[in-house]
Amino acid sequence: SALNLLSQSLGLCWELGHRELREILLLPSTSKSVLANQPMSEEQCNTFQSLIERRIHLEPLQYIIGQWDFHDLIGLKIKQPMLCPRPETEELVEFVLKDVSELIRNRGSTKERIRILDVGSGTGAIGLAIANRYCDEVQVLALDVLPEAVELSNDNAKRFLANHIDEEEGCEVDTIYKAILCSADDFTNTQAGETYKMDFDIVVSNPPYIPSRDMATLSEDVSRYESDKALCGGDDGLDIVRHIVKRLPEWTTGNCWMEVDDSHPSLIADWLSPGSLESSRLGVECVSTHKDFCGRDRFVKLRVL
Amino acid sequence: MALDDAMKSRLDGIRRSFQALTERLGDPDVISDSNLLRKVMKDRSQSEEVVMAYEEYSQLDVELEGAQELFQDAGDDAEMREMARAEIKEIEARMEVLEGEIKILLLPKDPNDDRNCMLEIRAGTGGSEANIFAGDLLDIYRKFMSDQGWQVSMMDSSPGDDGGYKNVVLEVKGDKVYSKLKWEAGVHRVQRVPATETQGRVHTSTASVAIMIEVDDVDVKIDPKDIEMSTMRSGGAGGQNVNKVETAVDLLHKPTGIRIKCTQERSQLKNKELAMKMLMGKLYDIEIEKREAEERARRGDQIGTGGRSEKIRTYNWKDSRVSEHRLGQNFPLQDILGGGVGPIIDGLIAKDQEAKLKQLSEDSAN
Repeated sequence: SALNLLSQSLGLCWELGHRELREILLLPSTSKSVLANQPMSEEQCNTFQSLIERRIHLEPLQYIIGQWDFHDLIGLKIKQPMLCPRPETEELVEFVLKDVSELIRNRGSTKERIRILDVGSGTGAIGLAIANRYCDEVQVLALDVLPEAVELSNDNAKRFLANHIDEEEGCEVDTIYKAILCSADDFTNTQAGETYKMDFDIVVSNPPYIPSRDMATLSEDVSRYESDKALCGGDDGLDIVRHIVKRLPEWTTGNCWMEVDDSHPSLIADWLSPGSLESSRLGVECVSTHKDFCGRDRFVKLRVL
Repeated sequence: MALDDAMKSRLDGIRRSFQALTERLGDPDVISDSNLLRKVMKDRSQSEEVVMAYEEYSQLDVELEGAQELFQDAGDDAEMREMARAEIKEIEARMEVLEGEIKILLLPKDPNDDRNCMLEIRAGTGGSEANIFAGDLLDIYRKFMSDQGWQVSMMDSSPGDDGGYKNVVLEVKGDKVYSKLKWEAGVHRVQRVPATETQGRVHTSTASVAIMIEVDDVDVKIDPKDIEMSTMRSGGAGGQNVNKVETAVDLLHKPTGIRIKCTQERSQLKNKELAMKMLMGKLYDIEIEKREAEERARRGDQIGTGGRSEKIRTYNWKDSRVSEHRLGQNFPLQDILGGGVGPIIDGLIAKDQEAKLKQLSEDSAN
């Protein structure tokens, strides 16, 4: 934390600043470098001091600095109350990217974009990581219930996709990524459908999934600073998941990838097990569950029947 | 002495390809495709040196004929004959030098020579003193790399308690990085009175240097089941419940027991990718070592690029010298400490080329 805050206070470049400082810390031979021997100005000292104070009060580093790296997105803007992207979500992105790459391989010569729906965009992390990798092949629509999240997602979109747009070719940021204010529950073809086609190729979500009973066990840096709304998924944590599953057949005939609480994959596998009553009624079945890098059940892959 | 016919026809072929590639550089289709352009330029530049040398050689051949004619036509004119003879000698000398150069340029190249690589220094026996020595080696290499104009970044390090490093890994990018650094792999030995020594006794400690080529998953296959990854999130709930930005990754490759730590990136995924890169580099290195050990056994005593337990160099403080054992030569300690390992590397490359040339002529004689 200190390294990043110091880099911030000194106004060093985002990518290299913290590396340079780490090297000075660890490699005595670099202590002859210009940066190592530069005395800090009073203003820099004060800035550093106040940033450290905020960190001591457990404010998340991403909020203090205003940005962080996620997947290939270097310097994703992050601010309250949107959730700071977690490492597990990088794995969610990787699952979707594999599916997208397969779709691209199997679709032949068509130039039509593969359409992705990101439910609960937050900072825009998931949808943008996908759009960033496949900027010529995908079109991402992202939903969020918070106007600030929609604004931040679209802001980040401009930041990362700006150099992929070609106004002459009719390709704007919108063509690749757009976030709109809408809840999962409301996003149906009877409401938003007239503006947005419903046949998405892939649906992805990292919905609020923490069960109410676990909310009290959260560490202070999470509970005090990050939004409850972005974290809590009701009693069993599956409230938003249920909304998504209900709407899924209207949105897509393809797959849906979700990141969930570690209690959920087995529950969902049961609830939507292929051939079960619920699965037939809802028109959705659970294809597979996957563990995260810590070996915890974390991801589910659903399929519309 | 002269280039034989087989070699000449080979060189003619290379020159023809070079000309074809040069023409392609003027092709508007190639110019408009930046990837293709880069590839054509790269392929062309690989034969440029030998083609230039051969052109000069062929030119001199023509001049030699002219000078020899002059000698014939001189008849009884002693002065003319003398001038012509002197010219012939000069041309022949120059041609001999070029021949030597061309033969070396035609030697089979190590396909990995142009690759970027990772350099790892690991303290060996000797406790704190070994750690400090590892730090000294790091200083030497950093100076050398800076002189070479290479791009260096630190991938991982474990500082020693009393200074220096238990272990440090650098990523090195630039021109012909592997072709030079590969000679540094092996065990380096230091003989001196350690800073921590109170009674002035000389100690011998070691540090080993490993050079790992940057490879991708085309070169090395790793089964995900063989990897155990641990992170700062390993205990507790994880997921949305926790927001820690310590994204350090610790990778254990179970079959070999190799453990890689990577801390430098802000994205955990990126740290994992870097750690995998290092792991693949190490596994590839082990493969190369195995293959080379087999080669060495087959050929008898030949220069190999570092059996990892081979003691290649001894740094002696009392006598102010560095002994490079493969060359059987000594170098001034201060030069080396200033980053001057260039001459040692050049010497090793030259010796290797000599051995290869000898092998080539033995093979063609058989």
